[in-house]
Amino acid sequence: MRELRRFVSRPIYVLMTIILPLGFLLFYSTFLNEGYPEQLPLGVIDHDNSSLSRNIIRQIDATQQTKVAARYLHFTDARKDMQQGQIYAFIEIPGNLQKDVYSGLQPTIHYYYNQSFFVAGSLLLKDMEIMLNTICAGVNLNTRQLKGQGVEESMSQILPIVPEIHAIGNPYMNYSVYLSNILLPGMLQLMILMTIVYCIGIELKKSSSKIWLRDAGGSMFQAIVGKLLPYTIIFSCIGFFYEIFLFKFMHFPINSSLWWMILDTFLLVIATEGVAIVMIGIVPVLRDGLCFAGLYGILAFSYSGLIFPIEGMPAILQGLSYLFPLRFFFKIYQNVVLNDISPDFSMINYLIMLLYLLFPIVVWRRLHNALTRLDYPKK
Amino acid sequence: MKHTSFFKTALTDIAEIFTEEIKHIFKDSGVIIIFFGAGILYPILYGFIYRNEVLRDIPIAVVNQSNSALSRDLVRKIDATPDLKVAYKANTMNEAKDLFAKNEVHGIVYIPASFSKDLCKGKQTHVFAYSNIATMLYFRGVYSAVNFVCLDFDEKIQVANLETKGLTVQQAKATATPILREGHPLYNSNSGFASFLLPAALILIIQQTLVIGIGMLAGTAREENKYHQLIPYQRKYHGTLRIVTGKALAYFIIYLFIGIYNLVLIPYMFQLPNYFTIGSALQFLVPFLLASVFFGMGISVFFWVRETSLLIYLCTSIPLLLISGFSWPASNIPIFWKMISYFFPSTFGIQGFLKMNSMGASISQINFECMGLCIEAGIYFIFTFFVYRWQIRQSEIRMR
Repeated sequence: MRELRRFVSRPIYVLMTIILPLGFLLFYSTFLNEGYPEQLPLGVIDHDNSSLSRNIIRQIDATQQTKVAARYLHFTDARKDMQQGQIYAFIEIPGNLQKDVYSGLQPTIHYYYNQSFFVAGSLLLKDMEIMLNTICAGVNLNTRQLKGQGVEESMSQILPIVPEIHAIGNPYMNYSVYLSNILLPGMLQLMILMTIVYCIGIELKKSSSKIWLRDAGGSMFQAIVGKLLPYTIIFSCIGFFYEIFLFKFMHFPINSSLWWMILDTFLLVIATEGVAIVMIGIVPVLRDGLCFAGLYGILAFSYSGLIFPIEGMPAILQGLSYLFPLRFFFKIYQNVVLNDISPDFSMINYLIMLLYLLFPIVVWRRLHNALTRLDYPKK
Repeated sequence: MKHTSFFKTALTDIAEIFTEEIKHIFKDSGVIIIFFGAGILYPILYGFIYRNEVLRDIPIAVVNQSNSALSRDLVRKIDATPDLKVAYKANTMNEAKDLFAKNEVHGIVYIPASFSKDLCKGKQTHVFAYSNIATMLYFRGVYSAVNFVCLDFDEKIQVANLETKGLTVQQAKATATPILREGHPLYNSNSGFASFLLPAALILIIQQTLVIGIGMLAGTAREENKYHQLIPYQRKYHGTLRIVTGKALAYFIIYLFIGIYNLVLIPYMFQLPNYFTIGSALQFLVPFLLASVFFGMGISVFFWVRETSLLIYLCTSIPLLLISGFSWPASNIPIFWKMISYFFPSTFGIQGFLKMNSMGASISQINFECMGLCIEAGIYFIFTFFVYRWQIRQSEIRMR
């Protein structure tokens, strides 16, 4: 009850627990609303200027993913524009392309892409490969048809093995689905960490922790549970709102019941609270505890394994991943919710999530001392 | 004569405020953690996390139901790609799915029983590959490797078929592949992940630690004096300009070192792209730091308690990274968010740094970003000047 009074008395709490989380939801849903980047700008250098080369450029421009933003006479000009970020890739068509093709000399088309802008560069690389393959197959098909082969027969000759590559879970290759599902819970855990550390730390700073303990009948367990209860409810509701918004309103792909996601979110909330208590327990000073929690919370994004898999990290740093509940949240989401694999396989992940609740025991004494001694460094 | 003495007192005032502020910074453990702890250790930690740059030998399972010489050759070729490693040969799809569920493999390749028979009959056949899109890099690896191997096989089969029809090798090749394609990654040429992510993170670390640190100092100043004023009223401090310059100079000089460390030394240590020399780094760093310092000082008036800067501002880090346009392409950012992004030095900073340090652009090629930073520095300087003056007036009123 005491916490509730405090909660409504200071705007910072409302800001941290309600306004910021909703702001982030708004941000991610509007920022990534396109889902898949389209009409990426690329450049063309056409040394040939024949009907074939013009046809190639037209075909490239016609696709959804790319847009021919500029034409250049020289390689250097194109490279300079790439350095300035005007285009993310360019294609250089050699002189005599058409002539060489029809005399069977196999001319080479060179294409360049910028991997410093990883996402744009990689997408354009894929698009350019597909387009040039198609164009090449088209020329091949033409030749064969001139010789009197049928389309079906020709295709089975040109492409005897068709690679069919499927993405499990997110068939649309939608970046919003890919990013929002971890960035939003990530932001949530960051705000939980900061808020919990703040609300315990402020008691230490204002030297009111003795009163807090007394109100709880001297039991630290009761004191902490009482303090965290309102936050648990608020953050869980925010988390549930996130999930309902993403899966019901934005229609993100989900292959099992939404309840699994809700459970996962709830586990993330309580596990993160456990970690937050450890944080303030290790450094029982408000400002340092907040610094600590903040640095940890940001690091959790890397350790979720979403962007760069944990298995790709150096072995020593892989071990650290056990310290981050977000990692296991993501694993459960990936296995149970997205890929609809039976939760039996994820038992270990659920267990680890629950273990975070026991984590505060490590710092129990230390925190208790800090709460009763009131030796908060004033300066 | 009068002029020289005016400049002299101005300079001594600035110098005094400067040394005061330096003392404040080094007395404050929280600010030291942020400025030096985060500013120096964070880049090293990130450098190590992403040290491996690329994923090699992603484990996959193969279900080869054709089990012919040709299909076994295909599996061998997939195994030989740098991206993939055939970790398991499963007999049935269910077995492979099981391995996938246990996270033992991150992709499955399925070759149907009719594979070789179809090919012998001249019919089109399929090879299926599945991967988990939830981790984009795994999907990317499976996609490019399987695609590459299949297309390579296609060409070989096609050429062989054409040769049996009586074409010469050269003729067969020219028919199968009328145009050769060659792709060249121009920058970050080994597609390294660290080389892509770290430059942006480094710029953000500089800006965020600077802004949070300045906010904490401002919060402390407020907490420590009676009237909760940002700038305590003191006789000797007359002239807002001197206070602003003196303080800004303190942050600027400290961050010049941290900046050089982050933008020159760290890329060098972790073998990231590094076109920067100390000279060209300074050309870029000076406008970026000025913009960040005045941005930090300007918004520091909103932080009443020292912890709030950390609490609120830290949460903006990830969104700021996204709207800078280094990952989600800048050309595809909704116009509203693009406008918002121009308020933050990190947007121009990340773009400018990537272009100069990762792609070797000259300072004149990043004119747009430099102009943006200079305009920001100017606007935030004027803003800081006025809010500081307003704060000083307020404290003067209270003193009377």
